[in-house]
Amino acid sequence: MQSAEHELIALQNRNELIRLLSIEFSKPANLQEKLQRMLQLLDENFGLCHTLLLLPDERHEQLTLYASRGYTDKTTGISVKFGEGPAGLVAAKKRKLRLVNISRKRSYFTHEPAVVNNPLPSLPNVESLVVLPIISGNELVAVLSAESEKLDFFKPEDEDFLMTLSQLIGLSIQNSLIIDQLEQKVRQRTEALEEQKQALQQANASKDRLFAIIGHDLRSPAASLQNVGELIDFYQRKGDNDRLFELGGKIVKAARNMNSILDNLLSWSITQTGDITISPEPLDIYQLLEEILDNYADIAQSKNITLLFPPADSGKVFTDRNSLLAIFRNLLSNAIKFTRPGGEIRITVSTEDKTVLITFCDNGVGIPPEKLAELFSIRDRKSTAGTSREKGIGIGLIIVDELVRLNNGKLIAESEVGVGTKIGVRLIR
Amino acid sequence: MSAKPLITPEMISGMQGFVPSVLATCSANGVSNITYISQIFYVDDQHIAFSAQLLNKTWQNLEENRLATAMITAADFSQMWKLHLEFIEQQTSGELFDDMDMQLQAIAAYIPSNINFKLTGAMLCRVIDVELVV
Repeated sequence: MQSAEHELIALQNRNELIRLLSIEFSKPANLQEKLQRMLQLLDENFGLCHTLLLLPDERHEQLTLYASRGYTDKTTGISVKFGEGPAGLVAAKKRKLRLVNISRKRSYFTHEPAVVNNPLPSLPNVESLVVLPIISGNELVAVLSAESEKLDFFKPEDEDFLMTLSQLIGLSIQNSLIIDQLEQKVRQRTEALEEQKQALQQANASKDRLFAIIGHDLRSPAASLQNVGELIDFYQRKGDNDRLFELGGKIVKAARNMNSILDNLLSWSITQTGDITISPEPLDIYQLLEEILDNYADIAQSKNITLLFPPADSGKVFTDRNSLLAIFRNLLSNAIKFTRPGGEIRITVSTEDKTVLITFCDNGVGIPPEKLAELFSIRDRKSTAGTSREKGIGIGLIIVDELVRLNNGKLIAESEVGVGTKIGVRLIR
Repeated sequence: MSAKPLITPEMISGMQGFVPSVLATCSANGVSNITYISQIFYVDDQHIAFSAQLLNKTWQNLEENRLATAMITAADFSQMWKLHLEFIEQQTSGELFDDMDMQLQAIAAYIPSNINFKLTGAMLCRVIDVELVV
């Protein structure tokens, strides 16, 4: 009768404990906090002073120690394979394990000194061990290990009670895992949004800059053409044919300037919208250079600039034709623009193992170091008038940079004020 | 209706090997054999099992004569019991075998790794009667 009464009281106490622990375990917390709190509660309520909580990896091949209590070593992060040591065995078989009287059992097999073939923390004089699989919905969520130096610390009824409790622990760990995963997703999403925001801000700034450029720089050649048109009208009415013929050169110049600006604007907008198609093919460098030099020879001549270019067998490059033409056009027009009348522009081609370096070297005005660093950035970009007051929109080198990048090449820029500038393009052969 | 429990919770404590249990078997021609066993596994209140390692003579005797007696001592209750047993079968797979095998392999974590811990079989016995040793 007395025994039944004791059993009833014990049962009531356990039920009360389960109720209290359910409340504790259901509190939202991140995984680390939750696991440490669980071990603390097991210590306070069951006297489990030496405990470990291990979680399986996604492939269920190894367990990793996430929380420990009662061990001096800080050993979280240690992993054991499924099937290795008591915890690994329990994980592999999803079955509880209770060992008692460990030193005696050892002595049946060997009298050699005790060893621990297990990377996990363990008491040197361990006598009792309980390892429980924490299972939720037939899935292994964690493994709980508890050790004691007492011979028979864990009674079978304790083990059964802990198994009941393990369902609560399993659900609680799953909840914390979900919270952790959600927090992780929120963090990742926030980071992605932040990146998108920055990219949009940058794109917006580029767009604003482009509109400003168009508004400011495209007006000049358009106004020039309008002026020339008015002059044609004026001289025609006046019957002054000599002045009328002189205007022909001005029309060509204004139209070419406008055409060049529109070409660059188009190239730039294509690179920014991602609509550009890069089709690399083996190209003859000299042929392409000759094509570009033909277009710019008269401009260079008008400034009395000498163009020195490489021999006809200067080599091949494996890149996109349109990109390379735009690169050459911009580098050459830039060099002409910033070379003083009577100056010199030297184009060189040097081949290496798998690459070819094409350089445009002038003895023009040069670029100050602080501007050289920002040479290929659209931010705060302003066009600079050339040595003969040539106008541009300041995006030529930005387009070069973008096209070189799209063709897996590299840009090299060196300059010294008053000495000249060397811009090199390294491309795949 | 289930049979009256023969193995009580107090006896389970005596099966853990704090005081080694003794298993007595007898051959068909009446030659007895007595051996110490490290642990008797509680299966349910009518059945126990022990591991079939290093028990050649016991195993031979049980094949000839299925009756055996185990003496267990619960040090914490200062009690001894005689379990009168009938050998049922040797199991080499299944839940009981897995549980016993897992215990053996877990012990391996505390012992130099050059010892073979492969369980040969789980020897399942029915408890016919329990006798308190006074």
